Amino acid sequence: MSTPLISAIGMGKRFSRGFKRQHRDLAQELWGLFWRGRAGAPAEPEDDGETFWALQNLRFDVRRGEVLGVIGHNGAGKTTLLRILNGEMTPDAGEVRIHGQRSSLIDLAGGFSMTMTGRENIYYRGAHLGFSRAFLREKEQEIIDFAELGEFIDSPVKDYSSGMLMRLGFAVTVFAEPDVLLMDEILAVGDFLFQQKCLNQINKLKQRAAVVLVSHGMSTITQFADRVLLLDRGVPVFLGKPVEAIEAYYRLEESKQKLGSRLSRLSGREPEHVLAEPAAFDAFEWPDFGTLPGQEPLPARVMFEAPAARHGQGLTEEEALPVELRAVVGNFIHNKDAIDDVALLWLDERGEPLKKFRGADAATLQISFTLRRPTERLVIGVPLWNEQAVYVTAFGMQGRFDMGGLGAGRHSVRLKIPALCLNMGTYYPVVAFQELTEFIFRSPATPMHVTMSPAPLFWGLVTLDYHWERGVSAPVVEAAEIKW
Amino acid sequence: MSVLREQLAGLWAYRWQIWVDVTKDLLSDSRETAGRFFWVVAMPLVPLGVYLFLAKLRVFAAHDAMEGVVYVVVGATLWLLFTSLFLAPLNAIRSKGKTARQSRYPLAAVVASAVGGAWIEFLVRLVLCGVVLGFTQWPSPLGVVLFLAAVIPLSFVFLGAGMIVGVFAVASKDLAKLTPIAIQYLFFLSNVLFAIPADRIPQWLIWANPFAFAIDTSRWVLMFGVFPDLAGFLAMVVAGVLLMWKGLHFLGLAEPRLASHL
Repeated sequence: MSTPLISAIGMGKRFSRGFKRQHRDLAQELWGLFWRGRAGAPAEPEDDGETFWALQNLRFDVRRGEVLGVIGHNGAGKTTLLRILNGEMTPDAGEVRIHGQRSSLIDLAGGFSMTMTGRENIYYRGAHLGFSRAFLREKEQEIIDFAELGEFIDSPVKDYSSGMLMRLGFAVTVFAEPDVLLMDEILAVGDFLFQQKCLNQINKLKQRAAVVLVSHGMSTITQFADRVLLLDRGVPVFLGKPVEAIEAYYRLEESKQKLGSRLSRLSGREPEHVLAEPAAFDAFEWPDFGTLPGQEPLPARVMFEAPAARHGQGLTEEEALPVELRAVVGNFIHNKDAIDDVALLWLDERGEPLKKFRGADAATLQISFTLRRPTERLVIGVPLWNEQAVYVTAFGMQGRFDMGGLGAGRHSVRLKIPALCLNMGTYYPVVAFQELTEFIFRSPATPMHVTMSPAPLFWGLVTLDYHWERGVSAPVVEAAEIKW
Repeated sequence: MSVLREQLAGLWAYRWQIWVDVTKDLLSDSRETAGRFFWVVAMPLVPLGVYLFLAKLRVFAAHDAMEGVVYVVVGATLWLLFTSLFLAPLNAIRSKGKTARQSRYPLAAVVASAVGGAWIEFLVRLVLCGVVLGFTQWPSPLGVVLFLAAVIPLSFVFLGAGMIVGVFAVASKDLAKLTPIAIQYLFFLSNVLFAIPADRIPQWLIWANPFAFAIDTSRWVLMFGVFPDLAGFLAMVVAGVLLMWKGLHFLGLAEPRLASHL
């Protein structure tokens, strides 16, 4: 087995709260270094409440050709880990060993001189990355071609768009051919074709480098990582196969939510920043209500109360969606004169509340709502985005189901999906009610954490039901519509 | 010693990158101007031009041994060099340290490029000094030979001390603010524009100031070809070498610790 290119041995990183404490600690360390050649010990005990461990006891190796994915919630310590591996910080406990040349795809647009041209910046940034003049001369044209900057390469980079700058930064960085590559998300640089070039280049680098990839995208992690490290508040809680790590991630999230809801019941208050609380559903009681013909009434439990209806309880619309999605999902709407008490419940095949989303399983979304006045024509839609803000699909009523006019009162409707077909990852549904041409309600629902794809091997966002055939049942195509 | 060896090896390995940084810093400000290289040369001469103008107006007291203009122009040139070298590590670490650490570019190389820029500006000013001396008071031929041999080892004092202060200034923002202010006040105690009469300020205050000693010594060497206080000069050279060694060593030791504070 090859020697690890990255080794973390009991590594930890401590931070101080407040800049005064940070500067005092640093001054003490520097004083010790200046007089004795070694860092001075902290003057106060570590558990004085002013310091905390951002990372603790990390142990892992990454070998050549291996990709270690790092996942965890915000504040788990992913970025700190990446900064330590990149040499931007030193660990306060244990050690990190890096063998070979490092390169990082973290801040691509940084480190450029804005007054210089793109060509000059290849040399300027390349010099800072440690490349020799001869190497940069040799690679200059390749970098220009890769970045697709054409004649703009001789324009000052301050005139570049952010995309052009990122492309140039990516090109200069990846041509380093590093032994250790550190990535904060797979970068969406440029248009689709350029992204494919980037991914190809990263895949090439994977063959010869040890890669650490930090990502919130579970599909990205399963696609790229060989092993995954799950961090929770600086502590490693799982290191193993991607599928198992992602399941552990969702289990962790679920247990946190349960804890949050228990706490909320004990305190009688809504916990902050907890969006989905499966264990808290029992807390909501709904009266009987009228149903659409052929529909069963919604059980007297709700899985989720749309965030827009919870504004008074500390949850804002902005908190309901990840930052990347806010811009693409659109405005949140709640016309309380028209509609209220919107409740959603995912059900499994047996009609039981759904515990886990699995790509191959059937799922039913039961939607209940109270109309404050009769509506002439109501249409419901459930568009779905993934964590990279890709619009995956939408479950719309138009052309499929006509609810007709509805009177004031409580109503319920079911959306039946024979097979979700979604690959592993987190998906963000939005529930929208439209009366004629006007939205009367539009709000994000509980994120769907799909923990198992429809098939063991999968690509892209969805896996449709398909099979391959050969032999007699697959005749040779003679008159094809499209030939390459 | 291994830290120091690593620092020196790093500086040698990054020599081309340091040169790229030096030229970038010199040229980038004048990039979009019509007289590009004119500004590269003219900008370092602006402060010197002001002092030259004031000296011609005889604002400052005359000096017995040399023309007032010579005293001021050479003094100001040396002051600008020594203070640039002293402040170069502090300014370079503050302005470029973070970017450098992100790409693992050594801080010693960042400092070296700032020092390179200071020396280029000094050489430009030296040309103006030569013109002024040519028209007013010719220096001693031996002094011309000895001048750089005196200035270079004396500059080690300021660069070495500057590296130490620059590192501590990362931990103490007050130090980072106070240092340039202190330098501005030292200007009037450093015999740059005029020799302070002994009856006004205690002379030990002048001679305890390394800027005053270095400027007076270098100026005297240039004009008359002799060291006014050879023992003092040698002591300062030894102190300079030690400070350079300590500063470079300290910078190397502290660099990983500074990373998260830059």
